[in-house]
Amino acid sequence: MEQQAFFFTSKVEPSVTPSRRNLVIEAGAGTGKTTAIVGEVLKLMLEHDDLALDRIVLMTFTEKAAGEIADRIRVALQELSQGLAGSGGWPIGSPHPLVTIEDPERARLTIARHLENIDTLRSQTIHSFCQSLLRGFPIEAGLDPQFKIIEGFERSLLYGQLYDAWLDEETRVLPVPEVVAEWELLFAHAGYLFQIRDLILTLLERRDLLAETDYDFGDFEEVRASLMDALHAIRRSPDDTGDEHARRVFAYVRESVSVPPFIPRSELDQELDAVIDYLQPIASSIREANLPRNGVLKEALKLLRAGDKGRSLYDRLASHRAAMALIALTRRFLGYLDEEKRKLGVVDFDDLLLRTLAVLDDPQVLARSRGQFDFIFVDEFQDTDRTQARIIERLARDADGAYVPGKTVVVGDPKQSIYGFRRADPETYYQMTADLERGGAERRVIADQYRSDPPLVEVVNSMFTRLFPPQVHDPNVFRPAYNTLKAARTTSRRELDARITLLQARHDDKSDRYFAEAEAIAGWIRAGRDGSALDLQRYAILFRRLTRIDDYLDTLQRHGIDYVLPPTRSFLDRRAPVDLLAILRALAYPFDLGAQISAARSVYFGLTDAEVVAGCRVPGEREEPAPPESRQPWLAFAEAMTGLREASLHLTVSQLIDRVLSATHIEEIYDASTDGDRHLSHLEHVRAIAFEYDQRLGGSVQQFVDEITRRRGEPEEVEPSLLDDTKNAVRILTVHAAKGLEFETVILPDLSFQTTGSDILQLFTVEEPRSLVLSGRAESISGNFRFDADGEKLKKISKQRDDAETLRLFYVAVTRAKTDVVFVVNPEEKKTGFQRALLSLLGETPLEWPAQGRDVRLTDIGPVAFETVEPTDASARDRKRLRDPELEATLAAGALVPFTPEQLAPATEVLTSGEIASARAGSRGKAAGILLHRVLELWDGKGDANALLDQLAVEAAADADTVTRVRKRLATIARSETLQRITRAETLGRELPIRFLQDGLLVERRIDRLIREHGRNVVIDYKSGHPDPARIAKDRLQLTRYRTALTTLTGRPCDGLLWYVDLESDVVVDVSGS
Amino acid sequence: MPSLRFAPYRDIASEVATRLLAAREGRDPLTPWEEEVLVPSRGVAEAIAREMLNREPSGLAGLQLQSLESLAVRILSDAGQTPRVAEEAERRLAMRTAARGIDDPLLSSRGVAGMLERSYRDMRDSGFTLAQFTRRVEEARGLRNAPRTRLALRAWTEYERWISQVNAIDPADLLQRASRLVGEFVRPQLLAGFYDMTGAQRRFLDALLRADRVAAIWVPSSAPFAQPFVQSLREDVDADSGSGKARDSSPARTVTQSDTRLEEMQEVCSQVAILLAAGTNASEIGIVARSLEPYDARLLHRFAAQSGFAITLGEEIPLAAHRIGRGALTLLRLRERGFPRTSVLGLVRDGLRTQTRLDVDAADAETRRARIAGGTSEELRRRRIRSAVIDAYIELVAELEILTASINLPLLARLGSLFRVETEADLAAAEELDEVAALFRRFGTAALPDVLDAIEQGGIRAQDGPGAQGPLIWCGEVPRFRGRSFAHLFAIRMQDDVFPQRRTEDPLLPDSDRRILGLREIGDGREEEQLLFSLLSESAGVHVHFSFASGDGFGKVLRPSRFVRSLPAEDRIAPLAHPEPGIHDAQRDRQLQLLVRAGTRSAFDGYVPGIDPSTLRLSPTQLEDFGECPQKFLLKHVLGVRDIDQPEREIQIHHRDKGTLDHKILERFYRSLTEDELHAANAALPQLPVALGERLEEFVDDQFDEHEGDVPPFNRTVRDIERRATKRILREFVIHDLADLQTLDLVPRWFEYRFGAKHRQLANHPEPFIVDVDGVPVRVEGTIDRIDVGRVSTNHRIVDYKSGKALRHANLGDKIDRGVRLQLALYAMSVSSFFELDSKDVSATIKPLVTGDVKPASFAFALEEKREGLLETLRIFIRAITAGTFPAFPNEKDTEFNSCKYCPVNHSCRTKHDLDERYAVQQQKDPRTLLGAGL
Ligand code: SF4
Repeated sequence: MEQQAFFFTSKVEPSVTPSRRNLVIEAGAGTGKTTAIVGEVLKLMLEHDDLALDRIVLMTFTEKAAGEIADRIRVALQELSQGLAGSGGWPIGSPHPLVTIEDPERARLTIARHLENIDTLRSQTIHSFCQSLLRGFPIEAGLDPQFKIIEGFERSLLYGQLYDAWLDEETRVLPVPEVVAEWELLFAHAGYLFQIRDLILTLLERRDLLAETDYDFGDFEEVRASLMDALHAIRRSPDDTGDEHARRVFAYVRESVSVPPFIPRSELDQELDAVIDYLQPIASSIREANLPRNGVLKEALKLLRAGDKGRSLYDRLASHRAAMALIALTRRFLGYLDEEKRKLGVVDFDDLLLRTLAVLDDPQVLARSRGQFDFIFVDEFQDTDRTQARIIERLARDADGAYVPGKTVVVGDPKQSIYGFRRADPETYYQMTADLERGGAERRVIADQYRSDPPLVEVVNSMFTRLFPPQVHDPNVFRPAYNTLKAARTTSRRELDARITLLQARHDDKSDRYFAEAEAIAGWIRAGRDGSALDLQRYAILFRRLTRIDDYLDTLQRHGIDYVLPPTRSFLDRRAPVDLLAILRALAYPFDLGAQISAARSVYFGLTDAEVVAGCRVPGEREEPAPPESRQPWLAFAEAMTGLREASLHLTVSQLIDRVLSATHIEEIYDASTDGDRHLSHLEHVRAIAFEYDQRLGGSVQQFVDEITRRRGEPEEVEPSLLDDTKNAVRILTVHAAKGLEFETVILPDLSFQTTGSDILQLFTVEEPRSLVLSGRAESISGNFRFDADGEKLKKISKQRDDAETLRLFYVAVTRAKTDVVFVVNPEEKKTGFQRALLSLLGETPLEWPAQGRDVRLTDIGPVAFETVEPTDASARDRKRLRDPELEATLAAGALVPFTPEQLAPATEVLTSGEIASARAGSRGKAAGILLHRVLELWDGKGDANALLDQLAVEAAADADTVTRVRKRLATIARSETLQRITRAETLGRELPIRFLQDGLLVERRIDRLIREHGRNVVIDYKSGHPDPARIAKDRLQLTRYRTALTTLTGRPCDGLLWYVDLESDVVVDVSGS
Repeated sequence: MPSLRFAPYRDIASEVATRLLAAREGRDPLTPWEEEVLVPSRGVAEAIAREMLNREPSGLAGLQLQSLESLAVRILSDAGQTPRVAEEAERRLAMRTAARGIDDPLLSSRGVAGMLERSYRDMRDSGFTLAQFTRRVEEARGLRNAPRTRLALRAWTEYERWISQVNAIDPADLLQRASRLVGEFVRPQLLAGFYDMTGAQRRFLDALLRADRVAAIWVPSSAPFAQPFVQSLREDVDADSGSGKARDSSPARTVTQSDTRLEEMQEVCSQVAILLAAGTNASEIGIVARSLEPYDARLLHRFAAQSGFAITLGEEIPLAAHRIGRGALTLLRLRERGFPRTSVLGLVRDGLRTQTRLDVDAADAETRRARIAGGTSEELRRRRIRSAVIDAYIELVAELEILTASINLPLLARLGSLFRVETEADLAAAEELDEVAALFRRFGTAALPDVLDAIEQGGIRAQDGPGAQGPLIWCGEVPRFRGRSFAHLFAIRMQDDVFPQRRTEDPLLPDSDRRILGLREIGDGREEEQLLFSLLSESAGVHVHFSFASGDGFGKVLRPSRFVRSLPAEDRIAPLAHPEPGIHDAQRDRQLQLLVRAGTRSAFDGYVPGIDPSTLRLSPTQLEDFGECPQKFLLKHVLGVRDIDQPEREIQIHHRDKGTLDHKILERFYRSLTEDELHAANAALPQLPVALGERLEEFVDDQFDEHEGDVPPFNRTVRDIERRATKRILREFVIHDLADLQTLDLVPRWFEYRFGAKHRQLANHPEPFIVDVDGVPVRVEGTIDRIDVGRVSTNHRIVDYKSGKALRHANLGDKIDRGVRLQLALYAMSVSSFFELDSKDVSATIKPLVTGDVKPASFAFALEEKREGLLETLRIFIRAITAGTFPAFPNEKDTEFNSCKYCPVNHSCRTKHDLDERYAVQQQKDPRTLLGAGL
């Protein structure tokens, strides 16, 4: 430990810690990255009792990590404050404490103080850090001050809609010739608009790179010379060797009148067009030609091919041109998107980062943001992407551009950088940590590994010193060297003959591969169970993809092995959402027979196919029509649908869903099935989406169904949730999600799986030669005609990075284990992915398994067990479907239960037209009624009512029509006998509040006027308009309540008057007596 | 001097009640009260009223329990002043209009009005007038961004102008005016339950104090956050005569952690139900959260109903989600969006009353088939293909054009009445629209974006769903909770970032500026949140059940609030089972039967009574559908299911139409080629002779023009791009094709070769090709794109064009053997029979029109190799049809056969989406083996 390297003065002014150095901690797997970061924060706290904790920011990459670190710091402080008397440091009881305490008395006070303020410590993800920064400077960042973050379904919905709107604007509403030309180029290349959409939306995910100005895609200039050489060589060569295709090419070149360049160099774009047109007629001949023997022509043809057989320079150049159109269009779309999002006041997670980086260009913002924090700790620093790293870097420097000493601590392990698909790249890690070190930071490597049994640490070391050898630094592909781990545990949890097991999963037919692997795993786990209460918790099966896990799950289930699984992503394509959508679609599209049939066949109704056919088949000419009773089920279904469709007219989408679910009792049905929990949780997710949809968009059912259908395939970016860690079950998760977790036995199946990045399109930067490369469906010149130091095309670098990342992923996977690792191997599989890494380690060891049982052999990496489990009867899939086996047996065996859907009650009460008319009239007259009340509240019955009316009309913002009505009613009142009666009596109150309890509930009302007349109390209720019997009955009821309340209150009887005042006349209804 | 006492809310209610009732001992219940009460919230008012009614059950009359603002209104009213306080919607609109009036890009985003409003409110609530504040700004040094602050001042000036133009005043002015009028006539006030005030309220209070109109003061807490308020009163009151301590019997406090938010709500509702069942009075139970999202409210309502009680929490549906609100928005946007088809029909579905009579479902179906994406009536009238329904649709568009000719105040005033009103919710929606119209009438303008915004902001109260009965439980957010207390309190959503709630800085007037300008600072809110939390914790008589969730249920991690971290944990209780007893047993069993049997070749898996194949007209394409997925065949060709087109998504020409176009162009082109031209073309390779190139382009133009008459483009640019692309693609194709013909020494001889009865007199061969399959005659009819014939040999090659790259047809030979590709093989057999050719002289190929790096061999086969297998396939298929065997066979790989790609039910097919069902069939490689194995 190098704690002495830190020295703090006892009294520190914030921002002034001259003797502190920045720190780069490299912590291998299992060495406790979080512990290291917590230790650093504790040290800082202990040595500064006046440290304001809100001047520390801890950045993590997941919410979960943010919570964990904050908790661990708090718990550590508590532990320290309790254990001060005993141990001398933290972690408590550790033989190598990271934090030591010299003056317990002082430390006690310091800790108490910090504990009091611990909640001001900011432990947050970098995204939420950016969010709070932007909230402080929205205007500088060009954002809506009340911006809202959109993610998941909402985001893809919005982007989809904006894309459509943009396409419409660019091509239909305001087509500009230059832009249309770009669309046309890209259309020619991609063939379909939906493919262009895919391309643009794919590129959008790399919009950080689209903003790069220091890198370029290359241009025709770089190809021109070699093209000219090839053409001239052909023209000069008299030879006519080669196959028919080659001869066609040569003839064309020789016979063509002119040879490029046709156009002055300044107009490169046009020149590129001209060259492409020139090459077009021979493009396919170039692709198909074999290289001739003649050396000159051979070289020339090679150049024209720009690759292997099947390629042609034409394709490359056309691809580049399309690529540039694509880039230009994507940039335009980005501009449009940003503007629209700003107007709507929304941002996504990428915006948070990019906007933050951009707003830090504002010197004032930068200065203020820098000044806000004295200490920045970054966890899992290898997961940062370029934008994040730049943000951190900016905050870490001072106004002169130097790193502020002691401000920044980054902790990471470059060998665990596995988030390439989220743009993390270890090259960035390398650059920034190297930069920090150049700026004076200390680099510290933590080697003590606490996770694994010592023999396993030994194996891990020998595996990864081989896979991560020290090598010359490659600026384009960072391959960190391995630092040997030191087993910090002294004892093993388990005694094993080998820590690595190669479990044989041989199979004959390719399609059985996953099945065979699953069988082997299930057999192996079954054999290893000890019957204890938590005997399954030991195992974790780590996958690289979850798309193929169905076979595994099924097999585990068949073997009675429980498992827990994180939520899968594209849940919209799973059964429960699909069934629900089928119903909604059938409701929204009554004319879509397919939708009706799907709905009828779904578990919501359960029609048999025979019933469907009987119901909707139109018999052929020579056929007997189906007997009417056979159509019954279909008709009953159709009727139920009509009922729901009518109900849907009065419901929002989420209300309709509620209605459908309750009408068909579907929750109860799913609940009865063995995998019901999953179905129900999927259903809940759809309900939540529908609710959001109503809230934000309020579209129709048809629109909802269309949108969901469109977004089905799009995965949702979510953090892997916490696993239920109490259940005795095997853990199943991806290697990515397993990062940061540990398990006793790690099982790795599907070894030969190999990612290929995005097969649609990849955009990446290369450092040497500095380039932006686009490859895939459209390729930039930089990818095909620029080369790295080894002479490889730059587009290959992405593959190299993928390979390097696969190795790192392999490292992460293996190092999750505490006791042992099991590889599920089929030697016949392709040598790709993990399989390749594993086989390279085994070197000369022959891949031979015993027919059955376990055979341990010594290999280059230590003892390895080759094991074959006894195959079980891998016959038909026989899974229980219902929780209640007896019911299942009955339903499976018995006859078909008749179809009898429930009749639906109406969803909403529909009012009569009379009710509607009077309610509408009432609502229009409401303003006049209120105004009249207000006048009568203030009017003494003698003064100028009209003047008062005018004054109060302003208060009520009444329109002229309303004022006129009230004026007329006032005139009626002035003429009325009742007015005389009221003014003669004693007024006890106007707008008099009364309160009483009714069935335990507090009731508050206001009485228009209470008078005393002939010694009796009289409640007067003003009413506008003319009464009808129904209205009087209703009003009478209400007035009676008031009278009763007043009678109870005063102990004296109380009378009542309903005074209906209309434009011309008034009516008084006496509501007295009992 | 008034006294000041510290007491928890419960005690405040009781002390105030005691004081008020004591003063009236023995007097007439209708005599006016000596004192009135000022309360900070409805909760406090209700608590006091309840306390009084508990002691005086006969009721209360005339007691004023009021907010500072209501007192201000009464004071003004008594003085003969009746100003109108601007409503929230008015203020919002005024601020929007003001912000827009100032031409600065900073003020152009949607939320800027909200930001301006918030800062303005703080400024006015601090007790400043705009003039006073402006002076301060002018004198201030060191503001973060002075020009921007001045910009805000301009916007505010403009805002105040708007407010006065609509004859209203700002709420802050109300208190200010009332302060000036406070006098003897105001009854003495008891100030009950405040611990903080805005500057404007504080000034009003000062006026009351100065006039000796405050009789007593109760403050619910002496926590740090309340101190500034208490300190500021020091001079004017008889200080602290209360304890300020929590009650002796403090409630139990526990915390429950649920896995998801949903479960949290569910469990809380179950707990409430258990309490109710045990005899606890509903008024003794409350549910509170620092803040609730709309979905929380939804879930609470849902689970409360399931657990047999109702909650007081209001639920609002956005106006835009109600059909009338949505319809209004659609109508207003109709013109600027170019009358899209979905919007037009959506309006009818949403209940717009129109003169044109239209069956909306029929119109939907027909306009889709006619590929109408939208457009004005004039544009639509140009279409050649029309029908009565389409004419009605066009008429409707014309009617809507008139209706939406201009968006103005008269249209707004009618908006609410344009739609059918049928239910209470409809009434509420129509009324809400009337209110929007009234708002704009007052402003005298109706800018479309403002109108849309106002409607989007609107909401209507959700009607209680079925089951929302039973005892009523109070439920709400902390601000409304203030002053209330319950025996059992459920404090839910105790999540980090929810409670304590984070304050966000005001970007317009950041705290540093506020300090300079003397405005109240926002700060981090810690002390206030702490106070709110302790008030909440002590407001229960028996038990506070805190709860939080560790995830949102959809993958997002949620963290617990720091307030509950150290509380003892409470056991989770299992949510109550679905209480609906109503399920109909027989129907449930049927539904469960589907779950049990599906995927076992059961009655739910496409096994139906047998169908006589001779009643069907079996084309090669249909048989191919059967080969890909028998269920698809059943649906499409036996039951008549068709695809539903989405014209608005189809900016490009529909793929079926595009196929027809390409075929017609190529047919014409090849037909037109003379022998000489063919020679010349061969000689010119790899280029196409100019004349032929021009001819090809001319044919493309002709076909596109013709197509436009039927389906005018909604997007002209894209249609033109497609036209040019077609020219280029076909040109490349032709060059490729000619080279291929030259290499194989073939000549195109027959084009669009039609055979079978359905072509009648147009047929090249009127008889269909009949294959006898186990005694069932299968009649093959169809059209062959092209037949090439050897120049010297007797070779015949069937050619089938496919637009695009035709990946689904690669490895054709293998796919024919597997029975998933049949069409071309059947054509080959037909040709061999019609031309009386030996099988070995007949071959066939698919020609993808998009050339490129495709391998031609993988798209071709020789009949001789396929014949026997093909007949066997047919036998299997016919037997299956006869037996009524139509299992679904999902496949989604383009390189395979992708049965689901063009299947009309692919979005909702059960087999495709269910693991078990899919697995059961996919054990076999393709339907042929599945059926073969089953027979
Ligand atoms: S979706 Fe696929 S499996 Fe289902 S019926 Fe259609 S083609 Fe068959």
